[in-house]
Amino acid sequence: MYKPTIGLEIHLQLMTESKIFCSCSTEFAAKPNTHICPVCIGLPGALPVLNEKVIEYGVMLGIALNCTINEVSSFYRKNYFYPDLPKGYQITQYAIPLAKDGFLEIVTENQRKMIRIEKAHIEEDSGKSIHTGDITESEYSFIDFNRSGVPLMEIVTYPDIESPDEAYEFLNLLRSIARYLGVSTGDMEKGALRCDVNISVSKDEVMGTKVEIKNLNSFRSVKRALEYEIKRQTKLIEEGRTVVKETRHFDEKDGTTKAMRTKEELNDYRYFPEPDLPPLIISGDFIEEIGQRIPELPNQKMRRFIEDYSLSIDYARSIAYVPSFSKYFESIIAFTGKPREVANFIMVNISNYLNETGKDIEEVPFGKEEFKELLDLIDSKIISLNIAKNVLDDSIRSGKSPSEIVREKGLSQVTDEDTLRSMIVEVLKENEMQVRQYLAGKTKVIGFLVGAVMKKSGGKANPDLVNKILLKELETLRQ
Amino acid sequence: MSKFDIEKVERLAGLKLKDDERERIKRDIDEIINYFDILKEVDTDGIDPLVYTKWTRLTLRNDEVHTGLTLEEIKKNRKLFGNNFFRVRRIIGE
Repeated sequence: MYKPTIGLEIHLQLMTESKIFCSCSTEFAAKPNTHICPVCIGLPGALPVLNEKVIEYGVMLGIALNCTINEVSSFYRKNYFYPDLPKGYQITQYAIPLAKDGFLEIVTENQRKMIRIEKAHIEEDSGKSIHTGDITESEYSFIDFNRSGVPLMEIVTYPDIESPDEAYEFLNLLRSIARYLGVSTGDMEKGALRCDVNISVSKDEVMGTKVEIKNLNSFRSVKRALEYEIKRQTKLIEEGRTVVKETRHFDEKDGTTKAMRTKEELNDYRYFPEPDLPPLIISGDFIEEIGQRIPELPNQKMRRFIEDYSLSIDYARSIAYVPSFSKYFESIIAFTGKPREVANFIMVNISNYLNETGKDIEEVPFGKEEFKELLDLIDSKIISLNIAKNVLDDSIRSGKSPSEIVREKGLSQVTDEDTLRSMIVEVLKENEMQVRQYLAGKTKVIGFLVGAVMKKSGGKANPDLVNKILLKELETLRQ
Repeated sequence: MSKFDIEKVERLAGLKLKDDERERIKRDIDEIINYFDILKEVDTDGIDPLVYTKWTRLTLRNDEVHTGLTLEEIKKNRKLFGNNFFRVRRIIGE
């Protein structure tokens, strides 16, 4: 069995108003080149001045990733030539990053696992090149520098990830943490999160050759690219061929990876200290102050939902990882209790409604009062859980209260024993074969008979009562 | 014997040198590298690398947006500009 070894390199945009080293706006999708100045297009003599919010967000994210924050860190120039890099170098951190030696604990299929983080550092983004028309004929490429100088945090993991699912879950958790902290939206389609992966496969303890994959546009692409690459590398090795150390490009359309270029040696970037920026010094007090502002994070929330409310891992994660969902969920159960029922309604009925309407959960016209009313109707056995789902669906869409709907549609549960008994007697007549089977000892058919009664009552019969009366009637038949 | 690969340096610096320039620059860089060999004789064990000679404090700015260059200002200094884009010679490859 070949074992994959995976490491991730993630770029998160820190959601400041202005760029990292100048006061230009970071607005997304603005008209090209309307947010540029001498600093971010690299005019001679222009000097970078660091945005204090970038430090605040960087430190906050670093602490949330369980990193050690370096009280002294430094900026470097990473040199390479490309038209969208106006200075000919990117200002980044190299020898001493802002944060190092962290970890995140992920949960996949009931297993907890620690993914170590090597470092997290701040840097500037480059501009964007656009190639229009036929690439072989068009004489020019076009550059938009609005993106140049947008603040990023690069997070590098150790190669602790061993499956595409773990990679997916790590990204999912990281993005959720960034959202809770309010430091990044993590929206991949808006360039607020980018991810490159490094992957090798090996049969034994000797590490295989590492391949880097770029152009991953969604978490699903990360997973698909890794799945493909594991197969590709395994096949090469089994055929006695060698895996080439290279950078590959993921092709969204056919789900394969294609070679791009041989990986440049690290020192080709000729890093050297940025002379325009003295070292970044952060006080221990500042780090402590930022640490105290960190709210409960999604993985802690998820654990609490599982341990205190007995939610399933899937439901706990789905609610805990989305700040607006957990806020809604917690505000409701603080009023109504019954977290398992509420979680179920949110994950099924309310999620369907959101998908259907494209609304956000904040806009759902079904708050704690309505939930309380609905749960009380179930508690007092006026409606069954199944009917309650229909009532909720109806209530969100019509704006009527749950009791109104139950009254208008005559949905109250049938609890009158005589009515139920006559229904049951009918059902027993209609299903003589099943009755014989039951009396012959095949007690499992009781489920079928209960179902038939529920159907006859239009779902309104009280299932507990049906069960009780049905058993009694069957015993009468035996005599 | 040269201690570095002049062609690699050319590639990294984005330069294309003529043959006589290449010879001259190769000699110059060799000489510089030789100076470093002299420096290498100093025993630096246990001494931290010196990155900054002046420990001035980093100046920070508030996260506030200010208007930068207008399109008119850009056009004044840049001929290859149109449709809000800087135009550059076609970039080949990725």
